[in-house]
Amino acid sequence: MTLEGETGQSSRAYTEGSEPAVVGPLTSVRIQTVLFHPAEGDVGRLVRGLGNAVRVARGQDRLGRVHLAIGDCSSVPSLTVDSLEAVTRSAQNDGIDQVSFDFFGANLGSAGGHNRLLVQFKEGFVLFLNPDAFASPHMLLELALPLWDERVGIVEARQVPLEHPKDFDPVFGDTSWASTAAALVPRRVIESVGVFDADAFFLYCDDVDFSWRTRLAGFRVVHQPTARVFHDKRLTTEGRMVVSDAEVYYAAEAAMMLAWKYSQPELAARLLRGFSTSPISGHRKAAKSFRARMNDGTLPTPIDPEGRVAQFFEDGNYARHRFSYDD
Amino acid sequence: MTERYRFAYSDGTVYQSVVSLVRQFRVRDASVVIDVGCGFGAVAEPLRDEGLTYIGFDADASGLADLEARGFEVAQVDLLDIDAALPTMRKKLGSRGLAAVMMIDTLEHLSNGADVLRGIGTIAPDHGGYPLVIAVPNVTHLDIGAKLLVGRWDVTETGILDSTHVAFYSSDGLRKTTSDSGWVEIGRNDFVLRDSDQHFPADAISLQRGTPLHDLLSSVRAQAGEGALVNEFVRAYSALQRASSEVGENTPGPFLSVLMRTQGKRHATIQEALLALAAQTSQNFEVLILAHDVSRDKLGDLQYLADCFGEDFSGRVRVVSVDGGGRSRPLNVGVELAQGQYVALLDDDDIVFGHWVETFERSADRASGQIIRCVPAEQDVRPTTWLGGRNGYTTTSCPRCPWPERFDLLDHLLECRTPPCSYALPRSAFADLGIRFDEKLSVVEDWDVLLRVALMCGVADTGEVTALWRKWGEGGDSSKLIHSDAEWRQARDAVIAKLDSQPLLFPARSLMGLLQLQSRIEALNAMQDEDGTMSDDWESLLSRAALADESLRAIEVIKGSTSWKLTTPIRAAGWVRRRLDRRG
Repeated sequence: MTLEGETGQSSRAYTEGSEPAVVGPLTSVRIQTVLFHPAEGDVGRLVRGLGNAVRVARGQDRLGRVHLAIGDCSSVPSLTVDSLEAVTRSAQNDGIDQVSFDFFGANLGSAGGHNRLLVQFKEGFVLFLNPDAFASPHMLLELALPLWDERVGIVEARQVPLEHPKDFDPVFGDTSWASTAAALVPRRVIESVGVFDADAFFLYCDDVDFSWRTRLAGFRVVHQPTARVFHDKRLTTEGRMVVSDAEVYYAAEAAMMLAWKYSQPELAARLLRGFSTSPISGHRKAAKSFRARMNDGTLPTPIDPEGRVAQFFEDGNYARHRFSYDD
Repeated sequence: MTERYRFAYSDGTVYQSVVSLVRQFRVRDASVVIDVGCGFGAVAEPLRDEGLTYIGFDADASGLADLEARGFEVAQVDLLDIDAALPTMRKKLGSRGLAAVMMIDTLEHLSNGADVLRGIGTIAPDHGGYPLVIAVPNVTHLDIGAKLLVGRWDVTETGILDSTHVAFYSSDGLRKTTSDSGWVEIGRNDFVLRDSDQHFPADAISLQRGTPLHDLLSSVRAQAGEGALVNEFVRAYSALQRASSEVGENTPGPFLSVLMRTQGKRHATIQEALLALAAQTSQNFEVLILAHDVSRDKLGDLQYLADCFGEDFSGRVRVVSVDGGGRSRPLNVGVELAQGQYVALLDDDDIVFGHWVETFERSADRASGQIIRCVPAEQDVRPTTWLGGRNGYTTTSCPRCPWPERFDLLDHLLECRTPPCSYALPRSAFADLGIRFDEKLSVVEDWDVLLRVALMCGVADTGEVTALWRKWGEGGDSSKLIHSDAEWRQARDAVIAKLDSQPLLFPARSLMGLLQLQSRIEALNAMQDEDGTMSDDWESLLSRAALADESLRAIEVIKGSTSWKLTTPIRAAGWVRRRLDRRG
């Protein structure tokens, strides 16, 4: 792991009490979100938040053209003609130049959905955003701040009310991986690294994989705590995150897939054994699916054999965590 | 007019209160005092003794004849036809200067009171500035309410419930009627009678001071607002400036008013608190940012933070500057300004989940008027410095839910087990019951209000986690860290002493909780030998402890059984006693 070495090279610009003198404007931004049976009001809220962020950034002359690209993996279109028109009107009132809506007609997953939308990516930056997110008014401006350093490949927003427990460098923000619940990526990174590995990661860890590939390509992955995004997560009365059965399944599948792809076959095997005998049916189902792909020879080709970027902790995390939501 | 309205002027009567206000507010260079609905004119002589010219107007000839015989000017008018009455009054006044107008015990006889009040403002438009002094019975006297509760409504020949009254006034009703008619209150000298003319029959328990029932009603009524012991409102008004119309009085407010206290020091967390509010799934709320002792510059910053959100949100956010006082002051300012059906407290370092408002709103639909309580969660944070030298914080623990999922009043009397961001209070508790945050308390002001409102309104649990209370570690400036232990103890004692000084309303089935405590105490007492040392007979100790547990379990079972509800307290008390006796 080379986190310390990488961040150390950047210390000249981030001095205590000051911000970078020049932050290049976001020349043009494509904002992508992928729907899957969104809760009522989610899309409207998403657009309202983005509208605030666009208005504030435009007010400071830091933002060029903005295209909001909405993909839909639902079984029936989540937006009707009327609701799309209302969403477009609301977006345009706040300065979002273009809104497009693609109903995929199939559940491509988060990674597959974003990849489908990225086919049309022409802008200077892409912002990945979850549909149940609500951008803070300064989110775009704050996400742009670390981009003065051309080696920054991903800037991740801070999620509230449940902050991600991933550790990050308190001075420079460098972190193991970035959640694409809200993350800004310059075009050059997509050109260099490619898109999400949708074949291996349907719903989870597509962003971990993308982050690690980004770092393998020599870019920094930065967490920006002042770039706030509200992510509509809930807690159980035991203080745990509310997760659906599908989330349990895909998280287990992604864990095995990530271990395999990042050249940790023993870990992948250990996970496979554990999930195979788990009392949770989602785990057993994921194990079965992984085993089938193993037999078919369709698992991804392992990379990062030296373990330059990949991190696998005993608690099952892909970065050092300050705390765990499972405590 | 019958003789029953012939009252004499004397000290200690409502008439003295009226004359006192006329003396205080009369126009100095004018000499005429008009008495609208004068009856027998009880105040005529004392006003003449002041050097004033008294003119009485009434529909009833007998009172007018009596006044005329006593040497006073009179004219007959029918106030129910105010358009016809006004020219007569103007003519009688002529060009003389008008020092004051009085309406004593008249308004309550008029079905067109507001029209008459408006007309009085036009009697002498050229003279201007004359005050109007009104005396009107108060139907919200404690005696009336206490009797109504036991099914008594005693109409009498004269007095507060005079059989000829057609309009009934509370303090607020009088304010609204006068305000709507173009009068603004400038002084008051209410006539107070602890025992009104309705204080009968003498043996009615609800009227007897010292009975828990009366004392409870009395404390509720006294807290609820002015007028508990006022027999007649005696108030002076001026038409010099039209009272401002009451903004929004008739337009429904939002469901929730969010009171956000801030000292403008937590730039990082307040942005997130606002963000979380703007992201709520229900936007049926307003936000009052109560900036406590905040400089003008920082007020501007707060306004900017709100304005960064779109008009659909920022239009519902008000930044209110509050100067002076302690932690309670901004909250009291907030409840005065709040328009919502419910009021919730959200400090500038707390944060809420997306369904905070929605959960309150949904629950209030089925438990309207009760406190709506969610399951509180807390998370450790500590201050830090973010990129660029900005003050921030870092989260250092997973969220926990250390507080009970369900509200228990007895538990909450021991200590506060619900942080303020996890409940919504019915605004009626403030607007109608007159509850306010105790400005003498430097801490636990929220616990004090939670208890007082819970005792009056009850609590409905939602069973959902909707808010995160931030627990600051080293370097934070939360009240927990700033105030000393002694201060906390002192405030807690003050809250309990205040509650203990008055009768309290405990919700149904509280007796079970008390019996539970009592059974624990008895079991513990039984574990002690006669000399006060603990018994070393472990078998005995364990069996007694088991008995206590058994009784608690039985009580829980009984509490959960709806078919037992009606007679539960009696049966359970007997059961516990018998079991303990047998073991005794």
